[in-house]
Amino acid sequence: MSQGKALPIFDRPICQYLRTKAIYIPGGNLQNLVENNPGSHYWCNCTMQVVGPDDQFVSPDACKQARDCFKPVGGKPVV
Amino acid sequence: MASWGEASESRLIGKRITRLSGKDKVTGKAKYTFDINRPGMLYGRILRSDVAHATVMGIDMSEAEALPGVKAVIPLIEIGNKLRYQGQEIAAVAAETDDIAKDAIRLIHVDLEELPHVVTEADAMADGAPQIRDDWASNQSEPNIREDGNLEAGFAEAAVEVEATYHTAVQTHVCLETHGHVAEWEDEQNLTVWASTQGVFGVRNDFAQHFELPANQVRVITEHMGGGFGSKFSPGVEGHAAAELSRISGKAVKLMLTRKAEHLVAGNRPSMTQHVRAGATRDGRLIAYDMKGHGTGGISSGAGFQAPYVYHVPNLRTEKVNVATNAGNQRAMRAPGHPQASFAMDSLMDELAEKLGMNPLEFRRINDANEVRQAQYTLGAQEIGWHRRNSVAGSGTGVKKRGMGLGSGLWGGGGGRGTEARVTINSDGTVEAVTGTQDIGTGVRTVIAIIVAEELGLAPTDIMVTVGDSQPGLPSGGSGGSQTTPSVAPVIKTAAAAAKQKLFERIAPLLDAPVGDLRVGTGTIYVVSDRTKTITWQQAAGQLGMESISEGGQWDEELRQNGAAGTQFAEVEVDTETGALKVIKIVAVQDCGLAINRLTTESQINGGVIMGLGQAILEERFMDPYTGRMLNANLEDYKVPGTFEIPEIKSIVFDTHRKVTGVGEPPCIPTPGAIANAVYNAIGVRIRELPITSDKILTALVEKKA
Repeated sequence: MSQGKALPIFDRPICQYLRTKAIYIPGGNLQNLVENNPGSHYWCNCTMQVVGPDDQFVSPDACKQARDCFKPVGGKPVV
Repeated sequence: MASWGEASESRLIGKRITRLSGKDKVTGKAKYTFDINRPGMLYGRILRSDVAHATVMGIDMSEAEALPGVKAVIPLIEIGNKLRYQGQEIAAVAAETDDIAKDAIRLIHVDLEELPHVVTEADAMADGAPQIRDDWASNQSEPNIREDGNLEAGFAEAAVEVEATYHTAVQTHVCLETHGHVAEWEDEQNLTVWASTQGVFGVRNDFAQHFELPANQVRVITEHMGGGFGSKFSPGVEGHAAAELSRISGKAVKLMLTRKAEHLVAGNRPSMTQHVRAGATRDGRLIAYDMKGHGTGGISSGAGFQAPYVYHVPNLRTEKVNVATNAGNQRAMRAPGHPQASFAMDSLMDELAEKLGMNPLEFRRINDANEVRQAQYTLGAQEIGWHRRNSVAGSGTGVKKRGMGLGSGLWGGGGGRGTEARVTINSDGTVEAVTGTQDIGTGVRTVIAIIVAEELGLAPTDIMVTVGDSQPGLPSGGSGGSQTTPSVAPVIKTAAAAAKQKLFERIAPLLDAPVGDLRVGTGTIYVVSDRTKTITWQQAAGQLGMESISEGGQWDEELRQNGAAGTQFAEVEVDTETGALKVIKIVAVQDCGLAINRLTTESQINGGVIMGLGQAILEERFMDPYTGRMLNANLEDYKVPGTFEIPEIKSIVFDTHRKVTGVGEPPCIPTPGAIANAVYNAIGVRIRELPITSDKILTALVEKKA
C-alpha cells in the first residue's frame, strides 16, 4: 500500500537537487519547492550549500532551466 | 472508525512508562554515530575558511597528500568560487589517526582574495554596505508585506498605543552530539552510513542522488542520536565528504564536526528585530498593529517569524525582510520563528495591558480565541500563584525583587503520511515492530512499544522495536515539525491491530468462538462471552507452528490531530544591585492531545522549557564586525543552561482529546516571553532584547533612575 505524501502538481519542472526542510518531514509543505517562501532556507544537494555548483544562490525562483546545473523533475512534459 | 479508546480502558497508553533505552544510555551501551568504530577506519577532518568573505584563487593539497598516514584529500570548493562565511568548507582529509588528519589540514595551502564582509545586521543594512548577495538588490530581500483591515481606522479607535522595538539574538543549536557520519563502501555500488540525523530515509536519498546510486543500495543507520533540533535533515558537506573520502581510500571514514564547527556551520536560529506600533481599545481589544521587522539567517534566507502572534488583531500591516550577513546559514531550529514571535508579542501584550491598567492575564483572555489556552490560563495561574504577582511592577521591597509573567504559543504537530511499518508475531510469542523512523532522543522506541503492547495485551519490554535503519525498507519521514509520533503512532497501531486480527483468526477454532468474540487480556486471549475460554499469549502464538504473522499498517487521520496550544508562567528573582537574574519556577501547561507516554511527554516539555530558558537569559552568537569571525564558538563563552540556571519546572500535560499530537517543539515557545514579562514585573524596567543578561538589567535600572 502506497502511503506517499500528497505531492503538489508541479506546473513547471523543479530542480531535483533543490532542498528545503519541508520535503524531509511528513506533512511538510512541498509547495515550498515550487514557490519561494521567504521563511524557508534552501540548499543544493550537489554542494550542500546555499549556492549550486555554479556558485549562484539556489531557490525555487533561482533554480531554472537556464542554469547548467539544473536537472528537471516533474512539471509538464517538454515536447 | 479507528480510535485510541477511552482513557479508562487504557492499560499503558497515557501512563508514565520508563524509556526502554534509558538503561543503555546511562550505561554507555547505546551507540551513537560518534561511538561507531569500523575495522581499519580512517578519521576525517575539514579545512575551513578563517575569513568571512573571499574568492578562492588556489588550493594546494600536495603537502597534505604526501604526509605519511594520509589516505585521501579532496577539495570541497571550486577554484574561483566564493567563501561566504567563516567556517565554510575548503578541503577534507582522511588519515589513519585523528592527529595525522589535523596535521594534514594544516598542510593545505589556500590562496584567497579577500572581499569586504558584513557580519552584523546593522552593518549589512547600512548605506554603502558591501553587497554580499548578488541575487538581491541589496543585502535585504524583497519585503514580505501583509495587510488586513484598515490600519488607520484601527489606530483611530485605539484608546492606548505602544511603540517599541523587540530584538532576539542569533542562537545556535548546540547539539550534544555534533553533526557527523561514519561512511563505508562495501563495494563500488553499496554504501553504508552511520549518520547523526533526524531522517534516515531523507539522508539515504540525498546520498543516493549525490553518488548516483540506486536508493536501495545506500543503507543509513541511526541507532541513537544526540540532538538535532531541526539542524540534521541532510548529510551536509561533512556527510558527502566522509563518503567521498571513504570511496577514494577504500576504508571506512568517521567525520564528526568539532564543537567550533558546530557553532559556525551547522545552523542557527535567526535573529529577529521588530519595530511595532500597536493599539488597543479601552475595553481591552487589540485593534491595530503595524510592524516592520527583519532578521538574519546568515548568508541564507529564511529568517521568518510570525507577527502578530497567537492573538487576533483585525487591522494590521506587517513588513518583513531577510538580511544577508557573512555568517553560517540558519537551519530550522525547534519551532522556527515562533519563540521570537512569542517573545515580541507577549512583551507587547503586557505593555498594552499596563497602559490600559488591566491585568495582563485578563487582557489575554479578551484577545485569545483559543479555547484550550483559555483553560490553560486558569490552570497555570493557579499553579504559579498569580495572585502573588506585583500589581504594580517593581513595587517589591528589598534588593532582590521577584516578579511573574506569562507567555503563549501555538504549534501544529499533526503528522502526515509516509510511514510504513510492520508488526510481527512469532510462534514463540515474541513480537517485533519495525519502521524507518528514528529516535532523536525523544523516546519514540518506547512509544512504539507501548502502542503494540497495549494492542496485544503485553508489556512494552516484550516488544522488540527496530528503528533508525533504512535497510528493512520501511520508510518514514524525518523527525521534524513535531511530526514523528502523530505520523508513526497511527501506522503502528493499525499494524498491531492487523497482526492481532490475524492471530485471532488462527486461534478462533481452538477456542471454538467467532473471531469477533476474542479479546486480549494481560498476556492472555479470551472469549468475551465465556471467560473460561482463555489461553495464554504463548499458547496462542504457539499455534503458528513454524510461521509468523507479519502485518503492515496505515496512517489514519482519525488517530491524530493538528494544533498544540500552550502557555507558560514564570516567576523570577532579580538582584537589583548585581543585575543577576534567577528564574525561580516555570509552569508549562502544554496541550499534547493524547500523550502516549506521559513520562517522556513531560521530559519533552522540560527540555523545551530549558531551551527557551537558554534563549531568554543566556544564548547569543557574537560576531566580530572587524574580523568577521564568531567570538564565542565554544561552550565556555556561548552559554547554555546548566543546573545552576534551570529552575523548578512544573510540566503539565494538558489532555485535550484522545488523538495524537506532536509536542517536540511547542514547549520552547512561550518561555522567553514569560520570563521577560516576569522580569518587568519584578523590577519595573522592561528589557526588550534577548538574552536578558545582567548587564542589560543593570543598564536599564540605571537609565530608569536617571
